[in-house]
Parts: sequence; structure tokens; C-alpha cells
Amino acid sequence: MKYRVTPSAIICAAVALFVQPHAACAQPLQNSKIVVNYEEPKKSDHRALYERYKKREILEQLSQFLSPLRLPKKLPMQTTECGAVNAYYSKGKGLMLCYEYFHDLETRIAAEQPPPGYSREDAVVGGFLVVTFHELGHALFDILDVPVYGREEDASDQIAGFVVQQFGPEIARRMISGAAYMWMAKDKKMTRTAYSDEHGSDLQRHYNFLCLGYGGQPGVFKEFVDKGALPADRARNCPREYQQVRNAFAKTILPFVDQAMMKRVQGMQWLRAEDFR
Amino acid sequence: MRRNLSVTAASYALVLSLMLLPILVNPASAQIAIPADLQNDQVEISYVAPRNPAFRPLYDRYKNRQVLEQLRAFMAPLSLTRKVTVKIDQCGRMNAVFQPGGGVTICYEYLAQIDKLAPAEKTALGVTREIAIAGAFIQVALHEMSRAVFDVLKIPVWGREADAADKLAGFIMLQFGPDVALTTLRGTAHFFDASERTWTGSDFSDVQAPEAQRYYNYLCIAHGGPSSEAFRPFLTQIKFLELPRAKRCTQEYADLRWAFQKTILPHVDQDLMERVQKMPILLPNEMK
Repeated sequence: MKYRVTPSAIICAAVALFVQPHAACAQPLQNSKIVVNYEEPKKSDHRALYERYKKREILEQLSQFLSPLRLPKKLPMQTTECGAVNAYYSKGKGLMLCYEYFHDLETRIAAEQPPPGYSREDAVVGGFLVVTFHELGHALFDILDVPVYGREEDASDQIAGFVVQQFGPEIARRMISGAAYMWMAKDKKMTRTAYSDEHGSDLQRHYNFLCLGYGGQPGVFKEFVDKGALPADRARNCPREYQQVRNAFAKTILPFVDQAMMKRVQGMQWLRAEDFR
Repeated sequence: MRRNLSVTAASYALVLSLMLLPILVNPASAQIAIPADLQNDQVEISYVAPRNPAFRPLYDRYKNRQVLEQLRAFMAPLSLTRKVTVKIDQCGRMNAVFQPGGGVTICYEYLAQIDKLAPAEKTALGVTREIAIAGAFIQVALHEMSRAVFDVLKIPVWGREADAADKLAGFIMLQFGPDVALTTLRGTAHFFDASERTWTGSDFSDVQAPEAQRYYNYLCIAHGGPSSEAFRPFLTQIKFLELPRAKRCTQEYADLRWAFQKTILPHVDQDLMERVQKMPILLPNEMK
């Protein structure tokens, strides 16, 4: 077989050598298996979210972000009106990110005064991302036939908490504490039958996120332990819990990830200053 | 494509649990013959004499009933890559936290709690004191062994590990046929239901789930598993079937079965399993 070296390939190789690997000649970031759609809402309450998400191209960005993932089949993702405060994954519809959920999140958070260490902005952005990655977790468990021993809702939270920690300490700190605050602010009174839900209680999820953060990056989340926001008894176990999630990710999801492309994704700036306004 | 759990695995689990049951349900008749060579050499057992004399009756009872010897025989078909010590010991608290690379400890404090929460008389749900004690003991033994198995076999565990261990324990309980399943899972449910602990604030940071959550998790496994029909009167009586969770239990069980089949079954020796299956296990009067 004859190889033909094009001028552009030579330029690419040169740039890669001296500037940044993959920067000039890599494949464009895109996951062809992910199909995105912004469904136009009927309720005026949701119009602003629809416009903002569309303008920000969050679903397109999500598709780019997931470009290293080798999916065996199509995965639709859409922002939509669901008729309930919800977000979910279904085998037929894919990821359904409901305007109601994010409208409720933003309204609720705006009315709260966050305790020290948390911020409203991080809760809104972190809340959006971990909920999206949580639903993505359900999708991956299903599509990739991943064995899940624990409660799948907790497992999906773990995927979300793990993924947002792979982009440096600042993103990790803001997204994890944002998610933790979202659950703390949501804290519902637990009735006896509420424990039958397949989701953990709001406070369990709050502590789970803090624990995953502390387990993954103890230095970054130490303040939460020092202030007692994450009790010491739980904190002791968190490095092990993070390791458990990391091992599970490595064994069950990583085989479907293009590692070189993942490094490119990790090296990119995904969040912008205006996202936190 | 997900496959059905093999009959041999189910039978193995059946034998495993049946070996444990009679010892606790009917102590007087607990004479199970265990072939000397049928044991897992990687499992080392120990009954540690308690310092607190209040636990002495528990020590005598469980030791005389050879629960750990039976558990070791039960583990025979499973290929373990390192030694696992299984002991009953005084812990100073209800549970000993399993550590990676470590062994299994069942605490006298926990066994005392099982006794304390077991009903003196048969309950309206048909749970006798014997069933409550047998179910709760088998639950804690299988839960702790599950954590060790996850660790030894380096099994990827998604979800909180303690919940995963509960689910594997519940899965095993269901592989023994409906009678054993009813005994063990109703006993387990009684234990968590009877705790009546109220969780508030930072209680929710615990690595263990609230008792009420564990109670419903076990009920869901019962409802979603192969003995669903046998559990129907019980689950109807406690109104579990009216809850939204009930609709999803069949899928939850299928996912659990898939996880077991994909990660643990490859480590099970089929020949040894057949030997275990041939052992005489349980007399009918031992489950009343």
C-alpha cells in the first residue's frame, strides 16, 4: 500500500510537535450517535430557558463533550416540556431534559440564601450539569449493558459526580458544591413511604456529592469537612468511595471511551464566565 | 444480550441458604453434616469469645450451631484469590466497617439487636421469632460476605456499596425457592421495619441507608424476583404493591441478576457447586 503525505498533514504534524498535540489536525469534536433537539415550549415560563439554552448551544456542546464515547446506537437528547418537574432517560426517547426541572431549580435557588461555602450560581450550573450527567448515566448503563449492583439512581449520581471532577479543581469545587447545595435546598420532609422511592433522600444525595468530591480531591473539599458540612465519620470513607467509583468507571465505561479524544476534551474550556451570571 | 441466570447458580445459592437456615430457625435440630473436604480453604472462621458477659449466650448459641462452618462450606464453589477471615466478635458498636483487603466481622452487638427486635409472639404478618432471627442473621451474614466478595474479586460496584451488598444478599435469598425466600426475606424485612429509628439532618450522611429504605429495597427484590407470587399476600398486606416503586421491581431484579451473572458467576466452580447441591439440607419442620 502506498502512503500519500499531504501538505496539510505535514503542517499538522509540525504544529503538533511544537504547539499542542492534536490541536491542529485532530478530528472535529462530535459524536455522530448523539442527536440533539430543543423543543419549543408552550408555556411562557419556559421560553427564557429555551432561548438561553439554544443560544448557548448547550446540547451541541454536550455532543462535543461526549465525542470520545463510542456508543453502539443513537442517543437522542432534548430539552422539552414534560408536564412535571422531572428529567429522565427512556429507552425510546433518550435523554429528556425538562424545562420544568430547570425552571424549578432556578426559581427555588433564587429564593434561598446559601450557607457559607455554597453559591446560587454554582447550584444552577452544577445542578444542570449533574442532572444531565445523571440521566446520561442511566443511558450508559442501559446502552452499554453495564452491571449495576447498587441502586441505579445513586450510581447515576456517581457518574455525574465523577465526570465533573475530571476538569480540574476549580470546576470540581464549583460543580460538586453546586450539586450538593441543590439537594440541600430541595430537602423534603421524609415520610415513611418516601423511603420506598428508588432515589435517595435529598440529604443523602447532598452528602453523597460532597463525599465524592472530598474523596476525589481532599484538598479542594477539606473546608466542608473542617466546617462539619461533611461529618468526619463519613469523610473517612470518602477516598474509598471515590476509588470504588473510579474502578467501576475504568472497568465498565472506559472501554467505550477514545482515550486520546478524552484528553482533548479534558483540555478544553467548557464553562464560560457568563454561565455563572 | 442478557442471558438467563443458570440453573446451577440458582441451585448453589439455594443450597447455600438452606444450609444456614435450620441452624437458626430450629436450633435443636441443627445437625447438618458437612463433608470435611467441602469447604473453601480461603475462608478462615473464628468465634471470638466476647469480653462482655452479656454476649456470652450469643457466643455459645452461634458457635454450637456452627453457623460459620456452614458459611465456609457454602462458599466452597467460589474461587477466592485471597484469604478471607470471617468472625463473630465484639465490636464496641453495631457494625464493623469492612475494609478493603480485610475480613468479615459480624458483631455480637448486631446479633443482640436481632434478638431484641425479634417478636416474642408470631406477628400479624406471620413472622415468628425464629423466622425473624434466622432472616436477620442470614441477611447480615450474606451482606458482609458480599462486601468481601466485591473486594476479593475486584468487582466493579456502581451505587453505594452497602446497598449493593444488600441487593446481592437479597438476590441470594431468592435463589432457594419460595419457602426459603419467604422465611429469609420476611425475617429481614421485620428486622428493618422494627428498628423504628427516625433519621434527621446529618444522620443521612451515613454510608448505610436508613432502615426504612433498606426495608423497601428488600421488599422490591422480593417482588421483582422469581418468588413474586409467593410474596403477593405479604406485600399486599403491607400495601407495598400500591407504591410507585412496585412497578419497577421486576426490572430492578433483572438488572441485579444480570450483574451477578456477568461478574460473579464466572468465579463459581460448577463441579463443587453440584457437590454442595447434593448435601442434605433442610427438614420441613425447620422453617416453621
